[in-house]
Amino acid sequence: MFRSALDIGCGHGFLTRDLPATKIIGVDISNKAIEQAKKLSSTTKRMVSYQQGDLFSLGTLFKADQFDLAVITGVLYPQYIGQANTLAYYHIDRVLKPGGILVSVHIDDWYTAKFPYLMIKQYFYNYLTYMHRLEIYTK
Amino acid sequence: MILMYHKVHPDSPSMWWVTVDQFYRQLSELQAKTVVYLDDYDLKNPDQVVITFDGVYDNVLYYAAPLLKKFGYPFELFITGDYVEKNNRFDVGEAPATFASIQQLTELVKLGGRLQWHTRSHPKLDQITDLGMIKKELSIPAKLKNLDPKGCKWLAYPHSVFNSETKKIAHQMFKGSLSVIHGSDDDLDALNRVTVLNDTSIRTSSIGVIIPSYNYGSFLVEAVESVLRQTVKPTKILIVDDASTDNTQEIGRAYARRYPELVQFHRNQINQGIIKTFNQSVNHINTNYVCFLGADNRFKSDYIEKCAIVLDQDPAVAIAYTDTEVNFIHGSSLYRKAAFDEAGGYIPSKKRAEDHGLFMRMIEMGWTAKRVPDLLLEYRQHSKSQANTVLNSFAELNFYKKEYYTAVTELSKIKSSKFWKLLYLYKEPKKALKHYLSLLLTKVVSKINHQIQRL
Repeated sequence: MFRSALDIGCGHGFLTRDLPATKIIGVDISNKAIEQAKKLSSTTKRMVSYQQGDLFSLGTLFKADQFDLAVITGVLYPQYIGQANTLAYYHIDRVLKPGGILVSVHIDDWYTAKFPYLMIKQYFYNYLTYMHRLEIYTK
Repeated sequence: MILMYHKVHPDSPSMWWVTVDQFYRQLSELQAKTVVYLDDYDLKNPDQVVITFDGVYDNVLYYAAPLLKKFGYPFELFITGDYVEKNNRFDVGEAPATFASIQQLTELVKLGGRLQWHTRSHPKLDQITDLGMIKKELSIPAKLKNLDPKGCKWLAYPHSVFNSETKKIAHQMFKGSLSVIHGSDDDLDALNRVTVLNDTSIRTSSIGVIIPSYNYGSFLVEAVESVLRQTVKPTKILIVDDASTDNTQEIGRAYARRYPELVQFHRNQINQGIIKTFNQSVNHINTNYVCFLGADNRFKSDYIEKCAIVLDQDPAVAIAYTDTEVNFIHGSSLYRKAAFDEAGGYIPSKKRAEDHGLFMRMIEMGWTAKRVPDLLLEYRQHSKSQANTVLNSFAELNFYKKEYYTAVTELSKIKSSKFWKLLYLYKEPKKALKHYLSLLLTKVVSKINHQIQRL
């Protein structure tokens, strides 16, 4: 069990609610998604909260070294973040504690990132007509 | 050297926008220099660099400032007074952008930025004859001056232009002034700057990565991807197929096709063995820095960033080696081609590993090796572990999927071309007529239907 987890690009929070952490925060660029996530999580007894914000505002939303688990799903695509992978690494690195775990799940066809951490596990699996690349890193 | 930026952003709609990833690379390269404020800039020191932004746009706060902070660099912000918080609609043809607000400028100062002056309204100063007007343009309103007590000492001429009169006034009012191309490198009242573009490089050394494969095709995709996804990309990637009998050739050629500027593919017709292949490849790629990546391994994505800077910083260092399970100089170290040449390359040996022999000879010749304190290689176990084989097959499968889609798109492009239609008509007139006539008829009928509906 992790102490605190951050779900980046949490959408409706379908993953956020079930993350193995005592305290969980989900962020998403869409206000509507955040509203929906809050509604859907209202019955859960766990400490889950949601905040609207984009990847590049993590710097203003959170203090440094705040999370020991970070999850990022379907965010790091050029159609969303242009040519700015390195800034994404910076922002996530800032909030992730040393020794923390990072999980990245993306459609392989559009994903051009690779975090500057040691990859400890990697999975590929089919997702709709695409293939998902799931990576687990340790900081 | 004084660098001039305008906008830093994830996208680059014109030459004035440097993408975040290219900006990152440039900052990483600057680690071999000393980045200083203009106040500390020594014109005679070629190792000093000043980073300047003109505008100043709010994207500098969002996208540039966090990275400047990461690298711990000071920077100068040349503000045009009238533009604060406004947009760039006057800038015809440029993609929309907003100038930083007072609040944002304050934040930038907190992050290490220093406010300097770019006039009130950004006029061409050499065309103003009224000296009073010039003085007014060069005077800084108290509201802005108060934002940064350490700043407001330097001027950047709008459009890079000035004349002797403007220079005289600027000299009285400022510690120094900046131009871009109309000044010089030693005139404190008109210093030149380098306009930084996406492909501007501060590093003068080229970097090559060689990926040799002998029947490691199933691992190759992931090895190549780990180089393509580096935070700082190499200048060249050379995939060498030592006469493999597997799909190494197919994968190598496909990557060379996909990235013609970056990836080269070479196949040995006859198996040459490691030593010959290594020596040939280093001479073939001919970059200042060079390293090998075993086709069955992967680089961590900051391998090049961390290793190249070690060689940049000290010309006496020939080898930058990273941590592995044990501390030793291993085959995947980044080294200087000059030292390789001097040491006579790889020499076959029965006593010790040939890469070790090469590095020993370099050191005996007076070169040094420096450790990069980071685990930058991901060794992958294969053959023993079934799980890994499955993973690589998936990566391989996806590679072929991409190839397939590219081929399908190409084919449909060809089939919709006039040339194809004419060829079809010529070769099989009956079939073609039947095919195209029915298409044409459907089109005509739908047009008529459309017309009738409108009536």
